[in-house]
Amino acid sequence: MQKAVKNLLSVLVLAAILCGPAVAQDQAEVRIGTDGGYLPWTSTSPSGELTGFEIDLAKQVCDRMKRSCRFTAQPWEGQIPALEQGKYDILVGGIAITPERQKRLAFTQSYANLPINFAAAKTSSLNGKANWQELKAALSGKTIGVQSGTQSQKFVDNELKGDVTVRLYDNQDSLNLDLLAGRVDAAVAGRSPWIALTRTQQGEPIEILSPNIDFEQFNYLGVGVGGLMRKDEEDLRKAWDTALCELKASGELKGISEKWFGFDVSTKPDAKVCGA
Amino acid sequence: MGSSGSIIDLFAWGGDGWTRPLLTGLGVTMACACIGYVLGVVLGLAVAFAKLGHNRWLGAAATLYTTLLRGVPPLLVIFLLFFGTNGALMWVARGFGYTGYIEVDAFTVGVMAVAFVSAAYSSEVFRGAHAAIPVGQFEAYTALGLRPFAGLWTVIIPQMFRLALPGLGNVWIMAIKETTLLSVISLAELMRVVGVAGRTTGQPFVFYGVAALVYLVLVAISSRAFHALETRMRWA
Repeated sequence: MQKAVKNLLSVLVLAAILCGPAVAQDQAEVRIGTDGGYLPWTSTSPSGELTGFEIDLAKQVCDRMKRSCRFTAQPWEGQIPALEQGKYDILVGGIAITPERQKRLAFTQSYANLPINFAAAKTSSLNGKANWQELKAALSGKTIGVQSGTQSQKFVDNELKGDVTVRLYDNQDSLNLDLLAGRVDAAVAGRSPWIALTRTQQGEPIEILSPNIDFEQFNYLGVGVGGLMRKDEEDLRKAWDTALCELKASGELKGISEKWFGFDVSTKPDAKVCGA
Repeated sequence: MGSSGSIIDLFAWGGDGWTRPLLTGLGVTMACACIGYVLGVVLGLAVAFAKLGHNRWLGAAATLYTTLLRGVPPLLVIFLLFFGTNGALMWVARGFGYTGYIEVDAFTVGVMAVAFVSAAYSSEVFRGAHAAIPVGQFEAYTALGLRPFAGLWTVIIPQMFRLALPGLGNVWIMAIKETTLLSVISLAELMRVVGVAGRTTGQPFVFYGVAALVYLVLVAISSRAFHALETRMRWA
């Protein structure tokens, strides 16, 4: 009986080994998982090639680490189990650094964060404020729209509660419609939806208000996005972080950001990792 | 980004057009559905006879199988198969001293998932068909002096297929639709390609519309084909 079990196991292992190229793992190769359908972070061209901010950045990191990298596109739903099982060494693709995820997995330092912006009609004369205090004073008594469950809502709750009337929306599209229709005086969201809106003909009467809401000043908004890894891959995480420090210092990260977002989403070097 | 292109540009052949990746995705969908379905029907027949047979343990195992596979959402079956088989293989390999990552490729897992779920549903279809065959048929093959196995093979199973055909048609349509879930294990079937194309070009409705049409046409052709088969078998 014992022999039979052993034979069966040998057959299984043989079958696994014969299952082909997926088995042969060159230890030097870094396997990167990404969604491939989440512009401008990660996207797929018709020829099946991965492109996007994260792809350009990860390629630069791999160059700096002098490691060869292989990208695989997999929808977000299956990525974390695959990472835990060892299919990938790192996941990238606009993954927010959250305390919940940090309990079980490790993150590289943050490398990008989309600033929050207010937007309003050009005729509202709310634009051109030098800092948040001035804008806050101008907003007093107005009706503000924001999408519920977002960092922007967290910001409104913390900074404006009581001073303004808040209207919550399920999604960005209905928020846009009410802003255009004048049902809210101003609206808050991440910078990229406002850029998308103001570029359309429909969004022509809308402008993005200064200043950008600075994450350094409002640090409860989170530290942005990072690469997600297993906790036992300390060496790779250090190498990746070092490469990120270099790319931040040289301004290359900013360049990649401007190519894909049209503005700078990069975060400052993490002092704990990159040194002072 | 190229979201300003016209519909014709979107579906150009080669270059930045999406027709070729869409057709490749359709190919993966059909291959997965066809192979999985055929295996599933064969397995389903075996499971049905396990339930009908006199072996109590075999019957219980078969009942457990259909209850589980029909009770658990297909998406979960796919996840369990994918991460389960990989995990099991790695566990065994570790016993032999190999500590790397082993993966059964996504296509194999996809075919397995479709086959296992189709088997669960088709086994019930076959059981129903078996119950609908008049007792006289069983008596007839015994009277002819056929052994039970030969009798089943030449007399009962052909009639079961005729009776099971409408139900098997439904199982086939389910198999096609189950493939749409396989994108989660990074299999680039039609729905995955459509989702990526929609988000990349900023035209989700165009691509989801195309996908809806394609699945509708597939199902329409399938029901025609099954209907034709039913008509032919009625006289067979």
